[in-house]
Amino acid sequence: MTSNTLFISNCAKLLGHESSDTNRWGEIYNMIKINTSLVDRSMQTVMPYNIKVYPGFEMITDLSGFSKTYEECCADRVKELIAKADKLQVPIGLLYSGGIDSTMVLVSFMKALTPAELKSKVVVLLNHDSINENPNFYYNFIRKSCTIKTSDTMSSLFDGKYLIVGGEHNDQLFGSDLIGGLLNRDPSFDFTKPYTRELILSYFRMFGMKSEEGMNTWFDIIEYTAKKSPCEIKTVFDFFWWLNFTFKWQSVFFRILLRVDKHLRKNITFEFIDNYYHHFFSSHDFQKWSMLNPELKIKTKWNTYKYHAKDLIFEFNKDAEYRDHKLKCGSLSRLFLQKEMPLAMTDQLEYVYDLDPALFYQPNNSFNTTTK
Amino acid sequence: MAKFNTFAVLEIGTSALLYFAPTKLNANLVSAGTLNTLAVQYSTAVKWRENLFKGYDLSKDHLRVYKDGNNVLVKHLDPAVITPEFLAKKQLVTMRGEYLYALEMYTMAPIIRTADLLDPSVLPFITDQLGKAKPEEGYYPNAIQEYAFISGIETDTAYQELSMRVETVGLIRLRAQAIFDKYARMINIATTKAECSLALNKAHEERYMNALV
Repeated sequence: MTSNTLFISNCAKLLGHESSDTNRWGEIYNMIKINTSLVDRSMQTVMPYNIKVYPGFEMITDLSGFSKTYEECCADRVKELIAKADKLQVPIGLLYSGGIDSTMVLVSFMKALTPAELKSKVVVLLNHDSINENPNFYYNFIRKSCTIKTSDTMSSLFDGKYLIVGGEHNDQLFGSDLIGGLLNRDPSFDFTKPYTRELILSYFRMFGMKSEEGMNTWFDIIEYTAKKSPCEIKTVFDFFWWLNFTFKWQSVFFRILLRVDKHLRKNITFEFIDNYYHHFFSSHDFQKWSMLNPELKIKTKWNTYKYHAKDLIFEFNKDAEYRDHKLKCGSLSRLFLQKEMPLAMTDQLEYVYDLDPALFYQPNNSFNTTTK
Repeated sequence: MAKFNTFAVLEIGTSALLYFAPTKLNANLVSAGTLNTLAVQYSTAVKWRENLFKGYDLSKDHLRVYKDGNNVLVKHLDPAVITPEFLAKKQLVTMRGEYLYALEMYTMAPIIRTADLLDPSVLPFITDQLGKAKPEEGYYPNAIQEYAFISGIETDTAYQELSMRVETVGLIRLRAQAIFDKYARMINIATTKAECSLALNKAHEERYMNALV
């Protein structure tokens, strides 16, 4: 290992390094999963461990002149990805779970390509779960018009034979699973209220965060970055969306790369990622759309989360039940079941199997400051 | 009660009943981990064996199960056999058996995803048919053509769909088997609860914790 800076890490080992700053930082893991490493794309926060923002993931600050719709972003992204695949002379391997995000991706390709192009240029990677999650779409559309292959081989597809396209980052565009989690705990939870320290801390507590110091530090950090955001962060929903959009973005990108089959990990270079590994919703256009269109993310109930994407899917498949009742369901974890995983990946794309927190610790960090 | 305890592990030589197993796999594994033992099945569900263990307290009694001609008989174990070594062996076998059963349940969990009319026993036949197909030449064996016809889909789609189903079932089961084998061996050489727990936790981590996102 040549680098002491990370792109992603399982944070269980890092939590073992006890000091007051890392304790404050670690408090967030009562709320989010341990395999998630947070990094501030707006570059305002210094984490207690060296985690660097991946080049190109820096927060967009200029939204001027942008007026594309979500649908236009989808159409442009299809063109861009098809052009990349054509250049590489490989098909697109589309990770399809049957959920809202990957259905939106597939619908975008179906709308843009002729039936012959769809069959030859896109391989839909799916399994039993994908069919069960959206059976109507499988039987009425995919089965009739797509080339399919099992998605359970996903981690072995990083060999340059496919341009892999996932549906990651749509969650970060639209909101946060944490809102669903809060509604599960408290059905009367009103995410449309203006956020306040008191409210956010009460939700942190609901997730199991305990230390007042830790909770206040996180609130201060998120709020500080939110106030410098190019868009307005007003409500509780906005607050949790911003946390997801800004801090979790990178971890979401790297989590599949971390689970690539061992013998293929040598293939993972910056050039390889640039060519062969893409998430449909990662583009700058989508990110700008997200910051400029808060009203299109959710209405007042959880089943309206991502309603704009669901409306666009409905326009295509006319499946009103899916539009009106489909709930967000994390499906990637089912593909990760039974998989071996290294502990981290450095900023040189080296896989880390044994992690010494001291090597990555940086004492001058944002969690060292005294907070309220 | 005994109807549900038809799998057991016996000590060869003494015919002492060391352990009642909840599944045949569990009985087999416990036996594999302990020298001079045998995994057996007593069909207490059949009429002539339903009273085999009647009158015994299976949680306390030390029993001997043996054959006399065609009959299977159960008796209290000769007290001379119930030595501290025997009791320690019985305790060890029971401890491993319980952890192995927990491991079995853990590693079996992802297999629920593969529950399908496509029974695993049919996989070799389908794999054989898929192997005979030449998609690049448009050739598909009759079985695949029939599947396509009944399903009302193109033959190449039928080929891809069957490949997907077979691969998914195969991969999930193969991974489960590998994880199970690895940690079953760890449990079978463990001599303490702490060692068994460690193996179970590692299996849990490998099967589940890495999937948390």
